[in-house]
Amino acid sequence: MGSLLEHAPVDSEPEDEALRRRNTRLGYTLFALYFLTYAVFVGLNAFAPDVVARSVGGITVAVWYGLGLIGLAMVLAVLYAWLCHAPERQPRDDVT
Amino acid sequence: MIPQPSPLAVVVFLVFVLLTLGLSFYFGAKARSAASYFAAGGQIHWFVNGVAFAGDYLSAASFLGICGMLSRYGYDGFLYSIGFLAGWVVALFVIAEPLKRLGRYTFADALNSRFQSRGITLAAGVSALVVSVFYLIPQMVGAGSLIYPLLGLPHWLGVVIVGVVVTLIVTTAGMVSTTYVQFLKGSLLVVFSGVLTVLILLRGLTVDDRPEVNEPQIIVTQADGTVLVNGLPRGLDEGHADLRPVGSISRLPNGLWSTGPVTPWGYLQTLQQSEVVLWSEKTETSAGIKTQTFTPKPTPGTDILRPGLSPLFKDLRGDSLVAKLNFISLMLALFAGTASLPHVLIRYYTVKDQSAARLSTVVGIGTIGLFYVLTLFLGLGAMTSGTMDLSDSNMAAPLLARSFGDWLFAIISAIAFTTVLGTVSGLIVAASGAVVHDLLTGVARVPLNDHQKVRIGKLSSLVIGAISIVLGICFQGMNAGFLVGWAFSVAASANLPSLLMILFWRGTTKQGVAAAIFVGMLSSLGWILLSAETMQKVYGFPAEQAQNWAMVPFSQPGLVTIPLGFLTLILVSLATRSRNSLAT
Repeated sequence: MGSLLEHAPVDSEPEDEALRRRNTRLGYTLFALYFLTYAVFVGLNAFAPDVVARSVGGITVAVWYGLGLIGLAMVLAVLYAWLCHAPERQPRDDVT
Repeated sequence: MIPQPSPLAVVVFLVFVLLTLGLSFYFGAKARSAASYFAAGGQIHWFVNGVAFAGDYLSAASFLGICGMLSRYGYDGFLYSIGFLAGWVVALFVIAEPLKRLGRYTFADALNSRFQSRGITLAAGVSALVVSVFYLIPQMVGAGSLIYPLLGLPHWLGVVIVGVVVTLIVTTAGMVSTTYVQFLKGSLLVVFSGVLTVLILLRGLTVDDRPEVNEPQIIVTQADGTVLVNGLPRGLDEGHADLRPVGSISRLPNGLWSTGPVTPWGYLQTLQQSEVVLWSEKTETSAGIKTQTFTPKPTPGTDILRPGLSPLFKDLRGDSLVAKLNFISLMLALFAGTASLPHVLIRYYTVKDQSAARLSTVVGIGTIGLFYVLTLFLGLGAMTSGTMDLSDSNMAAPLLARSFGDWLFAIISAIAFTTVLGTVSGLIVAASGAVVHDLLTGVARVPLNDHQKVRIGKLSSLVIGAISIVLGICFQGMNAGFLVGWAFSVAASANLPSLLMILFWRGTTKQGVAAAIFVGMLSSLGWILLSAETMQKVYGFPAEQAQNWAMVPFSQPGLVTIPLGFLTLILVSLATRSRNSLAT
């Protein structure tokens, strides 16, 4: 596969190992949070349809939850990008 | 309904297509290297790429299909939105950065970063090709459905037009032009969906108490091909009849006649307390005569704003375990499928570094999320606007736009068309990448220099374009959403287990990966082809017979075939561990 790798470098960023691990962990945590929320949504719709049929403030739980999942995805995405960037901007104490 | 093409719509439509082609040729002149053709040289700005992600992703299924499903059946269409978007979370948090770090142009590259294996390249290349083709079919079918009402041209001609235009775009310019087409399309889609949503809210909800909204409609197709609609031969002039447009409110809360302009929350709340006339469909065939009966059913708003009214999910509220498993299976496939789509994955390589990949996915999620919230209102708006075509739910959004005037109809139809153009371009580039990089260079080891790769890439684009035209014509009439569900299930079953395990498990071996891809792909394909739904819709068997002959208990394979993919990978890796694992 050598020939595929010799074009203009696609990833030329020298990466800090600790930073990368931290970002990855952050990613998994946020993902787990979202997955759980999604799983509960699917579970309720499958096994407790009466719950999602209830009305809160004139709108069904189903609609709230659905919009909430969309909103949560957007919020988590922005949070992730922001948190991943933050340490890169701070000065490193241990660099002499 | 019989199309009544508007000249304005045609003109606007042509302007959009020419603009798209123009952009494509302009950027095409700059694409000389393989790096440029297949991955835009890694130089696309993250914001452009992010909106392009949205343009790539929001296909005919999203815009036309989901709105259509929402307008006919309510909340069930929204389930697809939720599932589709949730898949992006997987893409961002689990896949984006590792993938960017690993690969060059294709999904197979990413998998091969740790092994140098022709087996994996073959499996991944074939998988990318199969999934791309399955995803292409609903787009082409959607194109045909769009062209017919817009221009009055027959379905197959619509498919041919799309195929030709896209092939032109892709063979001349590759990834750079598709990126800018996607960017343009993504932006327009969101902006005009926003405009339509505002108009829907300003219009509010009004009761429609004309007697004909409560009368069933019947289409009879006789053995010799003649069609009768509501008893009269189909046609627009005297003595003929056409399907009446539908979609109305039978009762508003508090005896109100019309709400006037409302807020988004007000719209949902009011709808929930109203009664809307939905339509059910029954098809019977006997002695060569097909009778489709559409029956109006006033339905309370509370019923509409929760899942369970569409044929796909109709037993969800009851006790059937199979129905619930089917539902879970689909939601799982949607969740897992996004990150596994080859034409999405390939876009990770078009930005310059990981940080850009991350940022572009964030922009993508924001754009797509916003769009799905808007489509909720578009779908519900179409449901209550009296414009729905019972014979083709794919036209819900454009026909709704038409009720606000010809200009909006023209623009929305043109956007829907460029939607198809954009998605199909991306798919064809991904598929041709699979052919050149994976199958030819990687597996067959055909030595190609850069220039040859681009030439062959363009040739593959041509061939794949032609194949997709033919398939789009063959699958006419099938629901775009259903077909996209296929692609997602296959993508998730074939690609996701390998992607994840390579990232997380050191015991993964190259045989494990290759096996997992093949098993996932073949099992999900097989499951789909043997399901009751396929028997009924593709092979054409009547419903009961399809149920009896179906060899699988429910139609959506994800719940079974995704874990199967993981299991295969684990077992085969363990079996070949001593020789090959990452740990040695």
